[in-house]
Formats: sequence, structure tokens, C-alpha cells
Amino acid sequence: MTAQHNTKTDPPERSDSASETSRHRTLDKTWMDPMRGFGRLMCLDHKMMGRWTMMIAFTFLLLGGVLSILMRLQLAQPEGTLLGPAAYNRTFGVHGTTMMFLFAMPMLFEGFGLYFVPLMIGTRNVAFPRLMTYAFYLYVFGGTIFWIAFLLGYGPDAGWTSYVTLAGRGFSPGRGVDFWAMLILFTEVAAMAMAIDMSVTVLRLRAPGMSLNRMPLFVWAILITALMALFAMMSVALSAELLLMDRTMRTQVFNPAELGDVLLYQHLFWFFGHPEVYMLFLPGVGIASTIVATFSRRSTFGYTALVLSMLATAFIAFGVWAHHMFATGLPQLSLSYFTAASMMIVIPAGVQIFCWLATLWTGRLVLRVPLLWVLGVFFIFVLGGLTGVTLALVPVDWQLTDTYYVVAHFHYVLIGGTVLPIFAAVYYWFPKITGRLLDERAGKWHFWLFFVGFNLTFFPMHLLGLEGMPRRVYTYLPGLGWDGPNVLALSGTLLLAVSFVPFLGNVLWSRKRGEMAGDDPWGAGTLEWATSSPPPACNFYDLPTVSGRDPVWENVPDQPVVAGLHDDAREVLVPHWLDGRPDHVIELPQATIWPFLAAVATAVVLVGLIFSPWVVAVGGVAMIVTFVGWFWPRRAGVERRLARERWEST
Amino acid sequence: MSDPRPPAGGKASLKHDAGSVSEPVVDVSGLPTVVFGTRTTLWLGFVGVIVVEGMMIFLIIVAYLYLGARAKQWPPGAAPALTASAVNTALFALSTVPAVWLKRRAAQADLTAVRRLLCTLSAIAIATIVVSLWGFASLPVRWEANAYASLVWMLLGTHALVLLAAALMVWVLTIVMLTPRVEGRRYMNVYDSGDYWLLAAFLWLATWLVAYVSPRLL
Repeated sequence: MTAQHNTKTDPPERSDSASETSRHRTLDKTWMDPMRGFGRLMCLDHKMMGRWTMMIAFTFLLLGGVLSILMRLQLAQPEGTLLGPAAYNRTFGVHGTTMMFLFAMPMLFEGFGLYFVPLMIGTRNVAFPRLMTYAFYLYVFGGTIFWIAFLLGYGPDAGWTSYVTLAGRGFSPGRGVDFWAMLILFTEVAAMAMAIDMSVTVLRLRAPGMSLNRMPLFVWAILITALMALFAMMSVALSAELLLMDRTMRTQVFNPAELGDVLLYQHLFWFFGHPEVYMLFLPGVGIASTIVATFSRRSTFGYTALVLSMLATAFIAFGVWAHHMFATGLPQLSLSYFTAASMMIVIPAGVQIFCWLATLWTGRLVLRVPLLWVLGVFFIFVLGGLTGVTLALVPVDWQLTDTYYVVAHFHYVLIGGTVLPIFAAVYYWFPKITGRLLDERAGKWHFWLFFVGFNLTFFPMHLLGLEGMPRRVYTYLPGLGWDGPNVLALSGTLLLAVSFVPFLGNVLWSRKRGEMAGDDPWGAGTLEWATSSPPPACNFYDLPTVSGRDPVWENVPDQPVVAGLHDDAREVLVPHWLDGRPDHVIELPQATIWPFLAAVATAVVLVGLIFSPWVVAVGGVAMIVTFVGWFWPRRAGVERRLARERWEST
Repeated sequence: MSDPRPPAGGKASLKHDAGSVSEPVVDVSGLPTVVFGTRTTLWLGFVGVIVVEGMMIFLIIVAYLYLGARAKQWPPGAAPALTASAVNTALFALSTVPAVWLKRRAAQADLTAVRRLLCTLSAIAIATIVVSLWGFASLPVRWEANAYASLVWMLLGTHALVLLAAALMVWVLTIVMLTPRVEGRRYMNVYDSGDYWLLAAFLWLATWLVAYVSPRLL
């Protein structure tokens, strides 16, 4: 079906423009949160939370990137002396932890998800704004404390997976691993809170008419990611908590001498860890699908197949965790099953790639920078997928496990499936967030420097792995033939670093001086483009209804808008979760400081887990107080709310 | 029904020229603002909480069974005494009656009954917490003795946190519902607190079966 582009609904014409302006003012006043000084701490606006999360996650990307440069410098020659073994261990541990827990997941799920899901489904905020703010501050506190600890010399030195027994007290004394486990608890509690919030938002706050089979693919991706997070995150939170308690409270769960088991840790970690890879990849699928459709000027080919393939990916992802443990001596039957299951995941991944190719093939291509990044995804992610197929074979895995081949594989998958879609999304949605377009030429420089730099860095690592270079070593002897590929990798890393110069310059220049974007600079079809750029505090002055998968393209000229919500209260419509039929109305909370205070109290408890039960007790009492404050009903406006109440008899 | 509330006007309707708007609108002004059960956002959020807390208990049980399958003797020493836990099981079973009633009465805005049932549930919550503390005190081993002891403490401790959260919710709502000018959404909260209490009771049953009953049966 070729989409129609000229049917975008114009702003509704009003019979009385003065009363319209006054209505907009009322809505602005109702939905605007305090944005000065400490008032910011009370913010419950999903757009601000999304923006702040993106900026903080990007800062963590830069910090993690600096660590990767240090590692490559250290390994560029045999017997390098830049980093000693302990410093190197901490550097790669913090690099991996930062990229996985502080950059990728927050950027995609909590950054782009928070900003764009409510806009794409045509509502005014998330379902639980206070929970969102609480989760945001947990993420900020966790990341900040972890990095301060690292800079003070308390970095974890057992890798981003912190396997026992290496991460136990015996082999990793000091506080480094404790801070790692604490960070996991911070980020996973935040992610689980966000998962609940996002899934309810997507299922219950969509615009009237947006039935499940009309949901934008990015929203589907975030919903599926959220559902995965609900089931998977607790596993790593539990493994981190058990590890922390083994270290600080002398529990024995992972101590084989006292009936414990070290492989239990790996099972718990990877029962989260492998779904996590797909939790990172699925939002990328959503972004790529969105961008491919927009720049092919047509609706996505194979919408249903794409949704089903994402669901299949999520389902299979929970059954493949032990392929990370092939070398641990699992029973033969387990090896066979996990090989088969791991192979199976290429089927939904293939469906996704072919749907995108078919969309591009049958569309009218407009090759702008966001699409360029998505084309980069095809190349890099598919290469990573292919090496993944080789690693799913047990005999190959036994040869290559813990070598640089694995490092090359997962960087191709993760950077191809996560970082490239993130940059595609930045170029695509920057105009919506700021009202101005990013410069195309600088964007192309950024892409090509990044693309070449990436391949130069990580492709030689395949060869290094095949030649036997193990990962997680701080140096190697001369004469092994590893020098050349390592120098190549360093040069690629430097090129990658240079690629951030045009990007950062572009962002800083364009946000003030870039070309004005207008509401819908790409002629796209999803609802976020049906409001101004940047959107007003209430997102839409007239809440939209939809009649197709690409509402801006498909809505009829007199598509109805929602009326009957009070403008002076934060009311939102709750349609039926399946078919988008209007069901009831709820009022969302006003700006409040309690979620911030609750996050502070939670931080005291989590840090206290490392140091003293007394700190935990004090933090626990503070948590109770702040949560009671959070839930305590506000007296302000009670008469208004009571007067407007409408009960449905049961 | 002692506190009749204004009923909702019914379904959303498609209108033309409603108010100052000159194009068609979906008029939602008659839709209810107070509804109960599976339709509310809070209920769906609560399902998320069930999944998260249920996964926590489930994974600890999986770890317990995993280690148990590898040990020559499991539990390695005496099983925990049944008395306190059996009393708690009885209390939780008893508590499901006021919890279910509470939900029904909340949906009918029966303030008097809601207050009475919340007070009852609050008292039961205090009793279960006291009995839980007794249960911890009567455990035969401390958490650092071995992996079995660590996981039993972990399982019971995790359930204790769920119980504390459910109890806090009930206590706070008891005070809130005793204040004047109670809003409809508070009845919705009360309804959900009934569900949360039932979750705590169900998770106790799973915890009890694994930590106390299974060592005597397997």
C-alpha cells in the first residue's frame, strides 16, 4: 500500500480564536512543571525526563568511550605500560558496565521511549509520572555513585559480568565489586519501574482508534522490551543481591564449600543477560522500522510479520541463556538444545531484515542521514548476526570462547543493533525535540567516520580471536603476530573518537542555529509529527484520534479530536487496551518532590547495603516516610475533583 | 450503599459542532472517572508488580531447588519448626476473607464497611508481622551457616518485605479513609490494596510450601 502524504490533519479550525488561545494558555498552565532551581526536582513531564535521560546516557557513552581508548592504547603494542593489570581490569569492567547498564538501555528504553511513546500514542504523559521520576533519579544516583567510586579507585575488577568465584571476597577484596552490585540494583530497580510504567502507558493511554494492530512499530518494540524487562530484570537484580550478601553479610549461596554453587550465579546472570541483548536490540528494530517507512514514503511492509517476529525474538530470548555457558561443562542434552534455540533466533531476525528490505525496495527512497544510519545497521548487525551463528555451534564456541572473536561478535551486534539505531534516532527526532534540523553534511561526516572507524576497530578482532588472543588480558608478548591487528584497532578507535567531533559540533550548532524544522520535516506518518516541534507541555492541544497505522498519512481531513476533558486538570483518556475504544478518564498527579526524596532514601538503603546495616535501617525508615508522603492524598483541589467525579455502577 | 455517587453518563459519542469546536469531536465528557477492576491503569500496573515480586520469589525458589538437587542432604540439618509458620498460614488464609470483602465494598463506595474491613485487615497485618518475626527467631540456623540457610533467610526476608509493603498500604489507607471528604479514587486504591494483600497471602503460601513443608515431604 502506498501511503498518502497530503492528508495530514491541519490544526483544527476554531470558531473562536480568542477562546482557543485562552484554552491553550490554560492547558499550558495545567501541564507545565516548575523548571527553575530546585523546582526541577519536582518535574513529572515525560519529555523532560526523556531529554535528561538521553543527555546523561550520552555522557556515560563518552565516559565509556574514553575507557575504550585507554584499553586500545594499552594493547597497541606488546608489553604496554600505560595501564597495569589492576587498572586494566577495572577499566574494561567499568567500560562494559557503563555501556550496558548506564548507556544503552537507559538511552533507548528510558530516553527515547519516555520522550516519544506518549507522543506516538497521542496522550499527554505516562501512566505513572511519579514512578517515572523516581526511576530516573535512581538511575542518575546509581550511575553517579558508581563512577565516583571508580574514579576514587573503587572500580570493579571482575568484568561486567562479575562471575563468582572471581568476584567473591577471596579473589576480589575491596569495595569495587560491591559498588558494581549496588549499581546493578539501582539500574534494575529503575528499569523494572520504567517497564511497569511504559507497558501500562502503551496498553491503556493510546489515542481513541489506535487498536493494538495500529500501534506504531517503535511503540510495539518498547512494549515488548518492557514486558521482557519485567520477567528478566529480577534475575540479574537477584544475582547481584546474592553476590553482595555473600560479600558483605557472609551468606554462602555461591560458596561450593558450604553447599553453594558458582554456576548458579551464571544461570541467574544470563537468564537476564541474554534477554537483555534483545531488550537492547528491539527498540533498535522499532527505530529502524520507523525510519525505513518514513524515508521509503510508504507504510512498513509486513507490519504483522514484524510485530510477530519481535514477539518471537522476545520469547526465544528466554530460552538461549546457556549458550554463554557452553564451556562450563553443561550436560550434552543442554548443549544440543541451546544450540538449536540459539540458531532459531536468526529466523525472526531474518524476517525483520527482509521486511525492511522489501519496504525500501518498493518505496520511493529519500536518502537522508537517519536512513544512512539504518543502512549501516543492516551491514553491521547482519555481520554480527552471522558470527553469532558460528558461536552457537558448540565445537566452535569451545575454540573461540573468551577470545577476541567473541569481543568482535558482540560489538558488531550491540553497536549495530543499538548504537547505530540510536544515532539514526537522534538525527530523525532531533527536530521534534528542538524544533531545528541537524546539518546533513556534518551528519554524513559523522556517519562515515563512525562506520569506517567501527569496522577498522572491530573487524581485526575476529582475526585476533582466530589467532588465539584471549579477551580480558592487559598485555601480550611480542612475536605472537597480534601487534598489527591491535594497531589497526587502535587507529579505528581514534577514528571513532574523531567522529564525535562533527556530531557534537552539529548538535551544539543546530540546536540554536539549525534550519527550522516545522511540525513534520520528514513528512512522516506517526503521531509525534502531528504536534508542534518542540511539543507543548500538554503534547497536543487537541488530543487526536486515529484511523490507521500511519495516522498523519491516513487520517481523513475531518478526523475527530477528543473533547470533554477538563483543561484545568491533568486529565487523560483511558481507552480500552485492545481496540482503543474510549473507556474512562483519570487525572494524573501534579508536580511533586516526593519521588525525588523517595529515590534519595532508596539510594541510602542501596549504598548502605555495602557499608552498614544501620545505614540500611535509617534509609529504610526514610523510604517508608517518603513513600507515605508520595501516596498521601492531596487536599488541594479535592472539592473540584469530588464535584467532577462520575462513578460507574458495578 | 451508604455513599451514593453521581453515575457516569455512559459511552463516548461522536458529535459535530460541540461547544466551540467546529469539526467533529469524540466527546468523552460523560465517561466515568471512577471504575474498578481490570480496566484501571492502577490494576494493570499492579499486574506488573505481581510479575516483578513473583519473579523474585520464584527465582529464589528455583535457586533453592537447584542447590537442593545438587546436595547429598537437603536441608543439611533440621527443617525449620512449623509452629510459627503454620499460625501465619492460618492468619493469611483468614485475611483473604476481609480482603475480598474489602474490594467488593470499595467498589460500592460503602464507607462504613470499608473502614471496618480496613481496620480488621490492619490488625491482621500487625499479627502476621509479629508472627513472621517469631518465625525468623525460631529458624534453626543463621544465614551464614550454609547456602541452604542463606536461601531460606533470603526467601523469608523477601516475603517479609512484600508483607511490609502490603501492610503499609493497608495502614495508610485506613487512616486516609477515616478522614473526611474521601475521593472516589481512594476507593480505587482500597480496591487495589485488597488485591495487593491477596498477592502477599499467595506468595506466603508458595514460601511456606517450599521452606517449611517441602523438607518434610521430599
